[in-house]
Amino acid sequence: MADKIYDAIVVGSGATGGWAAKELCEAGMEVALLEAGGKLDPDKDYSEHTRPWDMKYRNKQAEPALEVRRPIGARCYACEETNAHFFVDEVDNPWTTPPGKPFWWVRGRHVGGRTIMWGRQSYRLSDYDFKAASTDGHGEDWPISYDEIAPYYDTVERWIGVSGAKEGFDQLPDGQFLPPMAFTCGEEIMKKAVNAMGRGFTIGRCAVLTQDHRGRAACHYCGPCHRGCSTNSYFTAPGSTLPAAEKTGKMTLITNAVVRHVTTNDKGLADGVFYFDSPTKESREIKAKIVVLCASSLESTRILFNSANGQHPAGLGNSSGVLGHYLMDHMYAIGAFGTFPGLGRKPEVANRPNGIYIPRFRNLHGDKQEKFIRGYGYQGGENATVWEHAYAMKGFGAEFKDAVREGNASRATLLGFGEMLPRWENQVTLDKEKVDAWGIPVLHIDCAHGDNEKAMAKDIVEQAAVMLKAAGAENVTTSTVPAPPGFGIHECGTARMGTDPKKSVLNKWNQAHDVKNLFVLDGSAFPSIACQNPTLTMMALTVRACEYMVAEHKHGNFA
Amino acid sequence: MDHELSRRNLLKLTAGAATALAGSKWVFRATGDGRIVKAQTSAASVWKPAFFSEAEAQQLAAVCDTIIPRTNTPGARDARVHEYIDVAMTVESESIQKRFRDGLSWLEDHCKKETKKSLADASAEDLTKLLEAISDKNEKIPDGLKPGASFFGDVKTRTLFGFYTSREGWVEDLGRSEHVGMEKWIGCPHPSGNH
Ligand SMILES: Cc1cc2nc3c(=O)[nH]c(=O)nc-3n(C[C@H](O)[C@H](O)[C@H](O)COP(=O)(O)OP(=O)(O)OC[C@H]3O[C@@H](n4cnc5c(N)ncnc54)[C@H](O)[C@@H]3O)c2cc1C
Ligand code: SF4
Repeated sequence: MADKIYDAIVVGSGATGGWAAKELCEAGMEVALLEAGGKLDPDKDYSEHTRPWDMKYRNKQAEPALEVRRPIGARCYACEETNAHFFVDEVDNPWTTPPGKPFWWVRGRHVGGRTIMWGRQSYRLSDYDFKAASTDGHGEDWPISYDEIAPYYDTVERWIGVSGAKEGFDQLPDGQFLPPMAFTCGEEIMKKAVNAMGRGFTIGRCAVLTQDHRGRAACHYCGPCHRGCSTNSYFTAPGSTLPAAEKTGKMTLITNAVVRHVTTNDKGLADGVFYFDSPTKESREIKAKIVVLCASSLESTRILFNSANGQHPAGLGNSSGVLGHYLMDHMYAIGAFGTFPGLGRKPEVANRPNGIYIPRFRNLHGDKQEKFIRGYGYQGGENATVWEHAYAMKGFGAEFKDAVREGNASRATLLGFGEMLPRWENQVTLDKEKVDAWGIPVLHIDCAHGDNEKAMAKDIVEQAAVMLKAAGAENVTTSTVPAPPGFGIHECGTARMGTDPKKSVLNKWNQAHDVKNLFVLDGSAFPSIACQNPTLTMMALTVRACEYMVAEHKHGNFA
Repeated sequence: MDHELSRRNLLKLTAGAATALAGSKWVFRATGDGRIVKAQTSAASVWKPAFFSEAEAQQLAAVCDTIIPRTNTPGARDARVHEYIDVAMTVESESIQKRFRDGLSWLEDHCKKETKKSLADASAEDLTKLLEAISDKNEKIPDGLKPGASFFGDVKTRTLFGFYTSREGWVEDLGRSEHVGMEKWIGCPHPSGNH
């Protein structure tokens, strides 16, 4: 095997790596897929049906021994008692931050990456996003327009299965949807009120199957998808793209392969990667004609920095000096909560693994904000409590117990996802001292919300409360302080794409300007982050870049 | 994967849960229609507290059972809520552990003073009277009972959580399904808008 030269090496098997492996293998290329973690076993590792009474801590927390190794991950809503091991071991995989500037980085290291735990919300960007810079002057436009990426959104949606409703919002283009999930009563009420304010309101567009699709079963609404889905009813790489790649017979999956750097030849081209076998820590090398990084936004950038050598002193692909800069994430965890009087009711037996979406309404369609540019969207919804209303009820005893059984309350939530501007000073570099468990230098992440974010956050909170109240909600409370950057778990940027090689790392095909056989397909490439969840766009860019790669490969342009 | 296979998977998972729980005094049986039922293997395998003393555990059980008593549905003792609280306490910070233990001990002393009995042996009427004096329903709590009122808040919160996340609370009291999926999502059933 040592002598074999693959057509392509793909690093990372998550959302983007799974797609890259599928597209390249299906085009007949020999692909080595390197993944830092191991394989999960659905029979043992997936636990969506485990009931709280079968868990030691009733799902309030995980074993302390697991939690101490992932102090940040354990704060994520999706990190629970039975699936804490889906979240990366932060002792083995550390990062550093300047004092007082936390970055809450949430990762997964196993086959499938974060597609195992992800929230499945899948939205298209529009030209409001791709051309945002030419509208308001901040940052750079994307090197592609909506028309160029639209066919690839189609391809991805058709394959992964996205349920949703066609609405005709120009800032949130419709896609190839499976039937939408239904609103709850309170959401119907909210929709009327929000629409009356001239704002959109739609059911969440999510990669959960509302009908059988491409050999995968329709969702049976058990609820906690982030613990894994035994029926593959939401999109994961191991449940969808990776089996397709495997079927071609062209894929060699190498697990427990922790990539340190990309190797280059005397022409300065990429010719393989250097990695460690995770358990033995033995170093290995593997060769290919093309190297494709899909290790997730910051991890791919880290690999590029660690690939610095005589020909590429500042990091591979970094002649521009832009590598590591313009880190972004969505502002998260701010919004409002309330209850609808008179909507108390028994909750449904089923759990809808999805919420509602209010598309951006700021700084477009004639709205012009004085205090901030760009905008935000909301996610949330309304449902009935099962028993949690008991906390607010006074007393105890038999009567109290009877009252709890009948006291179900309506609970509504609107949480904003705010666009963060790309700013030079929000950046990652290599830490000068700290290394991970394999001795690989780790990232120093220096990132904070700026004035635009702070002004936007205020508006996000205010407008969430305004809309809930307009819909008739009572007891409206707010959450006003955004979580530290990173916790939106939508980190993007640090190897942005663009037309000018002096201002960007990648071209419009996610190809390094400096190294023609090096591609970065994950969110590192985003020049701006918009306010929609980013993964659908990462996957569409991946398919588009792979199509280009295959054509170039056929023409012998990487030889 | 076809639909039948995926249904079989669900049952397989249920079977998996049974093995995962080997060693506990409960076993789970798949009924074949996708439901699981629970049965106790031996009537009297002995439970030992991990955090509380045996005496404290019995005192706590009496308090929890006063907050959620057995009616025509199971109560906190049936659901072994004190056993859950015992486990939960083992992973709390020292200050929270101390606060809870001190609160329980305060109430135990208070009970002895008022009834000459331990919480563990006091009658249901006496326990109710004790808790009424420190309950969150009581708006004018005298200073001397303030430590009791703060403990009432702590123990009630934990009892509610422990009870409603137990099978007894969820299935038998609330009447919720024990199903592990295979449901339809219906959503708002009032297309007319008359919610
Ligand atoms: C709880 C949660 C909820 C989310 N909800 C949503 C949502 O609703 N919508 C949305 O759009 N996005 C959501 N996301 C984000 C989404 O999961 C990511 O955007 C997406 O998975 C990124 O894809 P990726 O391929 O870049 O990276 P990942 O999916 O993270 O995969 C990266 C892979 O690379 C591997 N890797 C990393 N470094 C190395 C190395 N050095 N060598 C070898 N392999 C390496 C990792 O082990 C991993 O398997 C959520 C994430 C989480 C955790
Ligand atoms: S809710 Fe649906 S998609 Fe989520 S785990 Fe259950 S069956 Fe799978």
